[in-house]
Amino acid sequence: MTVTSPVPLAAPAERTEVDLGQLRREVQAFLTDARATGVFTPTVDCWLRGFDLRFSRELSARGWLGVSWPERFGGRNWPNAARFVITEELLRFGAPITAHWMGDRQIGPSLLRHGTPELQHEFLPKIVASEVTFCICMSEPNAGSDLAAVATRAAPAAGGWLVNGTKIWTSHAQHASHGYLLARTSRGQRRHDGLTEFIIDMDWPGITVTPIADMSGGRHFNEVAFRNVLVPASRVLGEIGNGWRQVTEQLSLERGGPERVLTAYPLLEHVVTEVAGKPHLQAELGEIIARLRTLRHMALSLTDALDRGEAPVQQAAALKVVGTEFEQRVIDFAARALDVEADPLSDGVAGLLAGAITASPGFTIRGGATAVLLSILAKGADR
Amino acid sequence: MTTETAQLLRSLADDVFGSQQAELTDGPARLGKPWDTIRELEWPMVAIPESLGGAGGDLEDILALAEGVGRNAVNLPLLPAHSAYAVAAAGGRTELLGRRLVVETQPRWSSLRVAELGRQLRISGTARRTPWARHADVLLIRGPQAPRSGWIACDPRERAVTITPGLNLAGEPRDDVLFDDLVVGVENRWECADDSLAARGTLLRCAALVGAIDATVVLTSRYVSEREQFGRPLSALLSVARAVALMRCQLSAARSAVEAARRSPTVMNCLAAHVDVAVCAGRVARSAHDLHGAMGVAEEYGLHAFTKRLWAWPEEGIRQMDARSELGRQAAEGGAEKLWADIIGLSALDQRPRQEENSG
Repeated sequence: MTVTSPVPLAAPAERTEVDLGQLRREVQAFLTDARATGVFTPTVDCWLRGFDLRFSRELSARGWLGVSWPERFGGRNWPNAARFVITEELLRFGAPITAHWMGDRQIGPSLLRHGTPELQHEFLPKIVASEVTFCICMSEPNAGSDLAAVATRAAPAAGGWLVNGTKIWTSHAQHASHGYLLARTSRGQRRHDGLTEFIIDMDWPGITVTPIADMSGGRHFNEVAFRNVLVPASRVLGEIGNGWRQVTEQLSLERGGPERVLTAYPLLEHVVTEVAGKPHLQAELGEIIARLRTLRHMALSLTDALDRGEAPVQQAAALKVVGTEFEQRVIDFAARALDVEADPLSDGVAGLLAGAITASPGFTIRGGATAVLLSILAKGADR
Repeated sequence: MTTETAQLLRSLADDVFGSQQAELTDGPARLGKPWDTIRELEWPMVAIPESLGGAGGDLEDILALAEGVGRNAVNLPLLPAHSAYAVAAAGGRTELLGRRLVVETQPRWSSLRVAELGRQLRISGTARRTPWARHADVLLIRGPQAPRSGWIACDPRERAVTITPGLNLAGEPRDDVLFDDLVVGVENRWECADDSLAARGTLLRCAALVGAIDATVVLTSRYVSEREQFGRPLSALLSVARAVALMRCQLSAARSAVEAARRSPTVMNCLAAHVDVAVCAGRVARSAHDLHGAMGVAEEYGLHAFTKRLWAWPEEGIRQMDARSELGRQAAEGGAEKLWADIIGLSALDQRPRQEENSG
């Protein structure tokens, strides 16, 4: 379980000291106030379904995005533990954090790791300021869990690359100003070779975004079609043809965070209140809370690994497997424990429950389906 | 610094326990040479301050040894003895550290009466499932002086004490101790405000479970990669590889549960570890037997030494249903805000820099 990336993500840099307790209190005070004044209503799955650019800009104004990045890019050079504190408070309040989520969580760190100085200077400060928002164009109709099957083609052209192909299940492509794109630049002997990462503008000619409604009526999914889209050479992220290794590292950032544990937390708070009057449910609540404590510690340990410059692929996969199983269990328990039935029209707890149930199948699919993660874990053990 | 010591103790424990295997598996649980070796190594005294007669080191060190007990399926009273020596030392009873075996018993208080008459305590009732009582030189009875924990030291060889042998699933002594008006002087009673000592036994057992889970996963991985069916190793079957990977996830979670409680070993945090490690243990035991087929239950194959522990230990000390209910009750009564404060307080993340200074 200690297999890590052979190359450190970044040299373990000297970090600026920050009073984490004070930071947490500031975030809590802001969120308590924002919730009380109706700036947001807590939701389950808030990091994927809470697109609210104004809210993200409020966080930017307080200096709470990209906090672990160097100061020259608008960051604060804080340890990753500071991002952990901010993030877990946002998640447990169920705040609308989707607009900055992909940029803050994985695109920024990928740019720091693999981007040219030009790309870093162009995008990192804008992510910090919520001036740009990112969507992730990875999955394709025939490349879901099998990401190496990506067939979207980027062919060399004058000044850059000409992209043709179709991406699918791209959340918030309709709002995003920019996208991360994984495309095939060559076809080698190994199917993992020849993939390349790009940063694209979503308003470039040739990009068509078509919405796909999900079963709750949610409108975050899209199909993104690329027809002769010219991507300048300067927008290659990292090494041409090395996309597989880079994306694998990026996925460990995507899998190992507190959002794999706390997605259903706003619902759990209601359950806790309910169980006070239902002693027969105490034991099950106790078991859930014991697991929550364990999982939160796992996520925190991964954060420490990031500070040490590691990309803990295996541990991140393990956390996502057990974390998302836990989140689904919380929702199953809530459905039994709460006095109300799920009702999508309700703006109270019945609505929260309805949203949670319909969001829950996604937990164990997005960011790496459980079956795929288990195969990563099985392979890792053989090494 | 201390993590390095713990690493060293971890591998040393595997060496020492491994070399004792023959003596330990020979017949019923005894307190023979292996125990004297362990005492000479001062392992029961690890994490007890040298100033109190202990061997020094910290909680991480004794947890590493406890993990070794589980990983090697060792039938020795290291865990209950350490808990007892630790509370004796904390109570200033350093003379007890020289006795060959001291164990702690925590009876249900409905089943024991302690009357105080002048300078005497008179004890009647039963302490069930006391570890290794038949071999103990001194028995520490954990008292009900809430909110503080208190102990009474007594001699189990007194005539007023009757010991009825019992075993847990793994063949470890769990004896019923009957007190029939046992008289001890009040000077044998002391209190201790140290919360972490009261939960020490719970946390040690969790660490031992992690060791047993680890061994179970190792044994199972090896078995499915060597055993061939349908013309290839079992591990080539997707469902088998998946089951082994899930076992690894449970091991990872169990380790994390213990580590979380180690950082802040309050009674509640240790109770949470007790509950979550038990869940992992149960799932790993089931899976291991599924994957081993009939071989897993054969006497001469070693799996059962571990899985019997995975079944026995979670219900010892505090029954799972009681522990779960207590965690749930506290969460429900405290409300959502307090629950979150408890969860984030667990790792003392916000105070981490200061903590590191202390432990360095």
